[in-house]
Amino acid sequence: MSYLQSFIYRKGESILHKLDPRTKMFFGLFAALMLTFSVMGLVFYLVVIIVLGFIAYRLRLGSQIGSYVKSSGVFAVIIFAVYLVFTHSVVQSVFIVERIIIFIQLFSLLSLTTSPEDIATALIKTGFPYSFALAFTMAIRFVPTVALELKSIEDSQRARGLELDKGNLFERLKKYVPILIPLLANTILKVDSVAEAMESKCFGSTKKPTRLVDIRMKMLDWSILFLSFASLVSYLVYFSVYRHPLVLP
Amino acid sequence: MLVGPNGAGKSTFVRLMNGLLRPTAGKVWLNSKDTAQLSVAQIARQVGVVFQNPNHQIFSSTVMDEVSFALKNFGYTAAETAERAQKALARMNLLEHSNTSPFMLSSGEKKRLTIASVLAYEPDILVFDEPTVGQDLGNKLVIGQVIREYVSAQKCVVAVTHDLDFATSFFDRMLILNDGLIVADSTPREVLLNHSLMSNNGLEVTEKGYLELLSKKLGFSDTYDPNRLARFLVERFCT
Repeated sequence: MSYLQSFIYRKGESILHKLDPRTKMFFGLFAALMLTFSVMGLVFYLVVIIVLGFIAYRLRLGSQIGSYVKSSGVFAVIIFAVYLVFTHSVVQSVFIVERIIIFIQLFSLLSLTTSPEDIATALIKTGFPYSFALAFTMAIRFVPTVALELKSIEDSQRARGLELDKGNLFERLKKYVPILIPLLANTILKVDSVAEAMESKCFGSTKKPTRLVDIRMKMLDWSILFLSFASLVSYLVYFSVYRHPLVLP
Repeated sequence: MLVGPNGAGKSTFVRLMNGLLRPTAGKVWLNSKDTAQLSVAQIARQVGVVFQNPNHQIFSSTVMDEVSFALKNFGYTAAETAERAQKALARMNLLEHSNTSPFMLSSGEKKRLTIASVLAYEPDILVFDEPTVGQDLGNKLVIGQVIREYVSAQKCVVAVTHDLDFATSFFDRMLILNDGLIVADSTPREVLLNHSLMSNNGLEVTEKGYLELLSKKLGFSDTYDPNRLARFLVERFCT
């Protein structure tokens, strides 16, 4: 699960870190909408890859990049195979894979450069209920904890002679039972204790809790939002009027 | 017994011992065999590790099945498995819970269960990672008794712990690790009496350590005798 690390927030001073989370969220949404219809997605894809690579370099995430690329590759191959079976079109399958990977990477742009607290604040300010925003950010925060727990459980069972890499596929899957049951049990226990801790700190006593740290849109945020929204509108108008051949299958 | 500040390399040492980590330099020898040539399962047969958190290994529906898990992995027959599991459960006072769900046990019982599941296959080396964390005095004494019995059967016990009182009571050799290096290798008593060594390596001197030092300064015999020290203090200051 080490590739999940490439989605987890790292502190930094890049321009993307300084942007308001809402700007990143809406930019991602607009870009995703454009990419859904456009072969320009390939260009965007390259831009996103370059930006992500730069951030990863600045944050010294080198060791995670390899596993991220590997797992993305496996994921892409599975999606490609599934679509190929159903659509019988190589071109269409390639574009579907490309879109999904772009969506994932757009999300990683947000999650890598924005703290879970800021994402929660952004969601609340966008109109999502407080409990939803909190659940979302806590789910993100639990990822590294669960990953560590998984590693620890795997070690405990291997130390008792469990050999995960032996046997046929069915036998191997069966061997994951001693790992998944403790993981599930521990996660439920942890969630339960977090819920108790939150209740003991008066969670839910008010519908609109105040926040210690607030987020504010700056000029740069408004400019980026305006440009990306204008691009989306122009593109959609262009798309609907001219039905350009660059439109994706 | 291995002690040292957080990040000293104690857990890494344990993971190197049972093959969960492979050395990037040098070699780890186990009974004259290079562990690089052995699988984790082969090493586990000889090096049994009791991990700190029992919840990380419990998954079976009954206590008996939980103890049998490693035995089955190591290829013991059904009869042997049942016999060894029962013996180990009896040793850890858990026989009456054989058919109970392990998830229903208290944390002390869970700890004893994880020890039983390792004792069942009698590894040559028994390794404890923080054996006393979250344990009451009764459980600490049970764990200590297991250690004494194992050592008296001419087998090796290694423990990584921060509980210096426990360590000095049940171990005869103490290694201090700091930043991946062994900075002391002596008897627990000698180490505990060396206060500068202790504080330089982020270890807290225990009450027992202070009393032993006092005992030594007063010129009592090398063997620490708390009764004699108490008698002296009462006579000196309370009469």
